[in-house]
Amino acid sequence: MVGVTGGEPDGSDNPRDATRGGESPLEIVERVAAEMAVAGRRTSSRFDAARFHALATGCGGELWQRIAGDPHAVAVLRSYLRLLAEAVGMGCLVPDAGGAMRDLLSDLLATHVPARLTELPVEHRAACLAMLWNLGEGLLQEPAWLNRFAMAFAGDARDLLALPAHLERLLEPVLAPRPPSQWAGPCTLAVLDPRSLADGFLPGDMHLAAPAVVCVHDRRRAGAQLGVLLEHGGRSRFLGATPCLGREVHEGARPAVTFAANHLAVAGHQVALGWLRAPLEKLVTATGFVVASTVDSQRLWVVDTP
Amino acid sequence: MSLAHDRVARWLQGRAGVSADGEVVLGERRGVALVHKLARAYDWIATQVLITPYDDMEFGAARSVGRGGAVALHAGQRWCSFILLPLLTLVTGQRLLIIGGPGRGKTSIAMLMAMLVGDPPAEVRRMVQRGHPQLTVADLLGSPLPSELIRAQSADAVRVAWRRWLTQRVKVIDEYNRIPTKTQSALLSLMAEGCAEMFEQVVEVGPSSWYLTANDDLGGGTFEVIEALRDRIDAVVRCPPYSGRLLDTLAARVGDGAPRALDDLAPRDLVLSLAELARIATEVRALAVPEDVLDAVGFFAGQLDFCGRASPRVEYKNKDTLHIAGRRVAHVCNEDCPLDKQQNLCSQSESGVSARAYQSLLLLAKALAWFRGEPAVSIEDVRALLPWVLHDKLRINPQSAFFTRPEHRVYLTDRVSWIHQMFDAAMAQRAAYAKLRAPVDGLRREVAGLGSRGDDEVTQAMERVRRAMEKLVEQGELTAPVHADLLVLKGLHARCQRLLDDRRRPSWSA
Repeated sequence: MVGVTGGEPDGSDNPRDATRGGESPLEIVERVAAEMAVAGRRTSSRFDAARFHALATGCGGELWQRIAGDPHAVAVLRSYLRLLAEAVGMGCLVPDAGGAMRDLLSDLLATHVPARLTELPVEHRAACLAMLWNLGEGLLQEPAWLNRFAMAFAGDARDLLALPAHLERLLEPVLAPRPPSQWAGPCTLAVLDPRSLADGFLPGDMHLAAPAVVCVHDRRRAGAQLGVLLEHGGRSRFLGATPCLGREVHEGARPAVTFAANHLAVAGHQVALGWLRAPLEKLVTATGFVVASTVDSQRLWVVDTP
Repeated sequence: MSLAHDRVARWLQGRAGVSADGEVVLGERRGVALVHKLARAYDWIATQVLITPYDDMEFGAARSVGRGGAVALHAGQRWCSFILLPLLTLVTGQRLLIIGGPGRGKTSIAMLMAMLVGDPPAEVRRMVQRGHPQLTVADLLGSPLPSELIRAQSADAVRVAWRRWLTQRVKVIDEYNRIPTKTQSALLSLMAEGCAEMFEQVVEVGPSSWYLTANDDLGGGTFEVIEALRDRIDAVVRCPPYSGRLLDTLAARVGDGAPRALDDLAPRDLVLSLAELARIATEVRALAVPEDVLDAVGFFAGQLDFCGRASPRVEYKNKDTLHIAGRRVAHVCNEDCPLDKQQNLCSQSESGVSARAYQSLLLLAKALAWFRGEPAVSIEDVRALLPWVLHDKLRINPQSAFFTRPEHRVYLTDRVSWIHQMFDAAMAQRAAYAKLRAPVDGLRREVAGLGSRGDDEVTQAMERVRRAMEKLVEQGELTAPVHADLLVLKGLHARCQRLLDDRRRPSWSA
């Protein structure tokens, strides 16, 4: 545990940005949390004081243990607890039945900030908190799949300040417009193997979350999903483990697909599938993709045509 | 720039920033739809302030539980009228009377409405006008400054210190039936004209939502409420009783000594600015009332107004004719009237309802439809609000043969259920009469399009109208729906006649 500065100035001119003599770390967090709780109740009709207190002493306590003693530590703590109170008042930070947060803002505040904020130089921490808030709150206005998509990959960012650029890179192919396919051929086949990402993953139910994103559920384990990014030219790939990305896409007419003798027939094209004989699940998209799984394999077969 | 870049850049343009003292600060929340704000206000009041388990405004298909149909489960939305009606009054700038015994939350709900427009609790308490037998006009409105009374050479030189509550957006009059009659008249001017006058000076009250409270509305006050003041009230709502199941909440409040919601400001995310209220009012008024809904309301209204025994003339067969002559429905509603008192609604009420009441109903129905997220007013909206709008406007005729049946006697004590059953019966009758009324609608449309047609066509239409009237008159009883159709047809006939007269009149006389 990091020692308390015992009433000494911690590098700020702000009179509030100082700890009081003899206060234990928990007391400091409790004091600031009580102040933010009052503000939270005044600001938000949905403010849940008990939830906020649990998060403030849990996540806030964890953050304080890491930053206490750093310059501007109290300002960072106050900033963090203010954001936590605002998020609670907005109805965020409520985990789902599995204990996972439902949106990126909640996930950032509950998980990433306490764990990773100290990776940043002291002088960037407050600005980073503000940036993360804006990013997370902005995402709240977006479709659910986009939020879950961002949550799934936020942890891969180099550090918290790099998160916007990281998300931009990831979303680039996902958000690019996809015209409907003419199903004119040629057809390309990609076989995706999930073993490196999730050992024992067995593809089950599949659904489109976005025009280019498929959410594949594990047929044995509830709550285990992999995202697949669909790209033409046999370049489709797994995005990684995700929460269920939701069923957001309602596509129009798609051609009939038939499977027979290690082949797939679609719009007059025959595509050899290797040893896939009969599909367990199949998904056809208007943008020219057929995704299939089989009962005795972990792999996914993705056929695409422009 | 790519879509992803634009999207992320947009997210980053948020309301969080870093202040000069190095802390993250947040601007106001953006883009919360006003209807969600009001829904949140409802939830806050219902779950944290005035907790009530009585959701008596229910929508969607109903399924009875057990025998007798006393308990029903509805598939759709549900609200507590005691909370929802004050909110609808707030956004429509109407006048609501809240009735109920002491300690049931009448004044609290009214004060909460004032807090929702941002008034601090202490200010709200000061602004509440408490009715008592000594309340004078000066207490209510203000008074001239004494020094100026002596100095002034003329009345208009006397400056009046108007009471501050007069210009508040939310006005609360507590126990209005304890206010002396003279002061009630001053209150009536305020509510009716929207201004008060004293020493030739006028104060405008501006757009306002009025909340009046009374322990009970039928003689429990110190002074009888003047009829005109009562008529200015758009709706009435009653307090639900406190549920014994919620005593633990009361015990917790007593135990923790925490400040009550009424001691604190309303949460900022609920506060409606005057501009927001104006925007809501515009959105509400823009909502459509479909023709079918207007027809349903008109059909019901016709049933209430009608009295076949009031006059031999079709135009005067209504309850106003009786009242003007100092008679009551019970005087004429007897075995001499051939109508079945169980089937026809006319005998149940002593009075019809004024056009003002229907205006209030339609505006509140629009507000309710807006709150429910509906694109237009539905018959369900009207049905839900009707008992509260007509609560004080519709006088019951307890002598009606309808109430002699044991199963109907309960309606003498429960007005809400009484009005609901009348509306339901009217809608059933409307469905039954649909075939009979269809030709009338057809003729109405035909006459509406006659403006550019030749005289022959107008004459033919007149003849069709006349024959339709003849058919209605000859086919049996003159009930309220038949009476309403006869009046419509007579009006159509007169319109055709006017059209022909206008064409025959020399142009210089126009």
